[in-house]
Amino acid sequence: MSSESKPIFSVKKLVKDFPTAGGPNSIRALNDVSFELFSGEAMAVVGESGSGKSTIARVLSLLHDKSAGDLNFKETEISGFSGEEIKRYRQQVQMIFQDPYGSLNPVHTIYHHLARPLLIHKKVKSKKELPDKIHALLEEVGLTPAVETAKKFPFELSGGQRQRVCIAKTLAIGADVVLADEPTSALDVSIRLGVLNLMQKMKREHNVAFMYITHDLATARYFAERTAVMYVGHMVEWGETEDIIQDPQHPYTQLLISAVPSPLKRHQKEEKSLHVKNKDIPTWTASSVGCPFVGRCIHAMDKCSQSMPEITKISEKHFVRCFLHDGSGQ
Amino acid sequence: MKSIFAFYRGNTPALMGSIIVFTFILLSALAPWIAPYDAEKRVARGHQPPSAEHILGTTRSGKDVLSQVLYAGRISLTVGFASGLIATVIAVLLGVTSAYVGGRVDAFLMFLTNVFLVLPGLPLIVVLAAFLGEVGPLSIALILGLFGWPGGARVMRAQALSIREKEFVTAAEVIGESKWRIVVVEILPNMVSLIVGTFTGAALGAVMGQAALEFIGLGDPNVISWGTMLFWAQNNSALIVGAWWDAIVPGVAIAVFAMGLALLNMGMDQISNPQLKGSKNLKQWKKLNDELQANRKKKQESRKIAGEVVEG
Ligand SMILES: Nc1ncnc2c1ncn2[C@@H]1O[C@H](COP(=O)(O)OP(=O)(O)O)[C@@H](O)[C@H]1O
Ligand SMILES: [Mg+2]
Repeated sequence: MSSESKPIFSVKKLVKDFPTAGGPNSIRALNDVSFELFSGEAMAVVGESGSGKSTIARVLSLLHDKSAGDLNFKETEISGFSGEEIKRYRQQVQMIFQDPYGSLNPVHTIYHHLARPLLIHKKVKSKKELPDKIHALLEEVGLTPAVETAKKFPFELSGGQRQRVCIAKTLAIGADVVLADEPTSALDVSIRLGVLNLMQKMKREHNVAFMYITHDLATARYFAERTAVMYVGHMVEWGETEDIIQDPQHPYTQLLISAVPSPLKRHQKEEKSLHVKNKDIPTWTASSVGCPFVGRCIHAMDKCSQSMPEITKISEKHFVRCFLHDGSGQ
Repeated sequence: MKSIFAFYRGNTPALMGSIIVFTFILLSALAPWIAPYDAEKRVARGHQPPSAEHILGTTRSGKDVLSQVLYAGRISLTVGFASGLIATVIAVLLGVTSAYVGGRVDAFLMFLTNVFLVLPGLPLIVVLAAFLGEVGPLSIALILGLFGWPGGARVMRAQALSIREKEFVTAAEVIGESKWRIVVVEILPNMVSLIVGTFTGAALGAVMGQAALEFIGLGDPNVISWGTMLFWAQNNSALIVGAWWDAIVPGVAIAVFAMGLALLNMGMDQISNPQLKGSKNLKQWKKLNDELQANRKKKQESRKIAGEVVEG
């Protein structure tokens, strides 16, 4: 279905450099990142911490400027937006943060947190409509009794409840795209599913597109139709989530999958030892070359440290960047 | 009500400080009703020791010391609070603007702050006061306020910088809040304890500063304040002639009130939590802060490594 409809987001060859303090060389947090996002669909972005996942979300949220590449939202380049354009964009693209304890202002009530987006984006005609609207939102995200919850301060809520408040904010705005940066990572395992189900509901009922950032393949499999695997700012493998998990091609994806607990793997101990074998994760800079995974890769070849392999199509919707699969590779 | 209890629980300095400061405010406010005599009139013979009629004795010119110290409180407290307010407003404006705007504005404002910070405060004020002649309470409040902000501005900037990095500020940006609303509605309320702390600190400095200026004779001697009371006592050699009450009473008033402000200031420092509503949250805030620091360290390290990789 996705290949026929037009993507909401189309990102091509995105590069993001962060200047280093006192040095001409900058950290390259994103290098040659390309993907498309379609409505009503979730794309998981998976990778260890430091792989640039949050940076993608922050660039798409206009919190950072891109360094190079194309960022098209509904066929319009977003960098260079100003004033009203930014406001209109924010009305469509929202973000959920990893840390539910940090993303709500401790001095304001839940009511304030939901009233602001409604007022900024004129989702209510007058302030009189606010209470009803806010209570309805709280009920929709399962925070009942809504009237009581609205009066509470963030510290009176659990992590899961706070994350539901953040989801309610995106609902209040009526965003078409939600960039969810590890929304369940800080939560207890027992309440993750509830939050994921709520996002699932938004996807189905409101046709919201999700970029689901996580380092947890199990939740990606549960929630996202497609998955992109990131390593040190590079997309190394992407495709339908099932294909990625059942038939991982890149050695890094294989490593990630071996780190997922039980049902997916059998020989836990052996594979764990493989996981810690060579843990030198490079810091990528503008002048770095080769495949970033080469230091940890058990299949590493000479050419791996000389250039980044091109994209290889494994199947209709499954792609990888690795010399093992490059026609010229073996 | 509950939140007031929660605020003072385990924070003895804040409680003690509040009691002292509020007692002083109350006594000064009620001076016209509770003072036994007219503070400006001769009501007895000079230098009478404490007695039933004049509980704290009389001054050399036969004025009632108790009445004077009560009325003097009105001036001294007003100058302290007014000057504290001026200093705090400047500190908040400069500190928060500096942190939020950043770049060149930040560099300039911090330069200005550092210049003011290294200026030798009191000597300069003495010179200025001497230059202006006998300065009244209003001028003293202004002078002390205009010199009392730099320390506060630096702390404000530091805290605003750390709050600016919090995700709720980013979240506010993402939902489309305007810059000034982020500063005023999202960041400032999280700085309440620091603002109150800065205010008490500045007020403390001003009360002491005013007393010092007036004591050395730079103030207007016709105004009744604790400083001028000390000035007259000194002028009339109160201690030498044995009229200790004349000097001790205003001295003790200044010392106790200053202690009250200092305790309140300490109490505010204890609350590293910007929200004054519960101890659970305090821990949370500390945890957050620690994580933030750790994160920043990590980032710096990775940058350092990047530098080495490139050079190596
Ligand atoms: N604001 C920033 N300034 C400098 N470097 C940054 C900044 N944000 C992220 N980085 C760097 O970019 C890289 C990717 O970070 P991030 O996107 O947060 O990764 P992830 O979310 O996958 O853990 C890291 O090396 C990090 O140090
Ligand atoms: Mg992240």
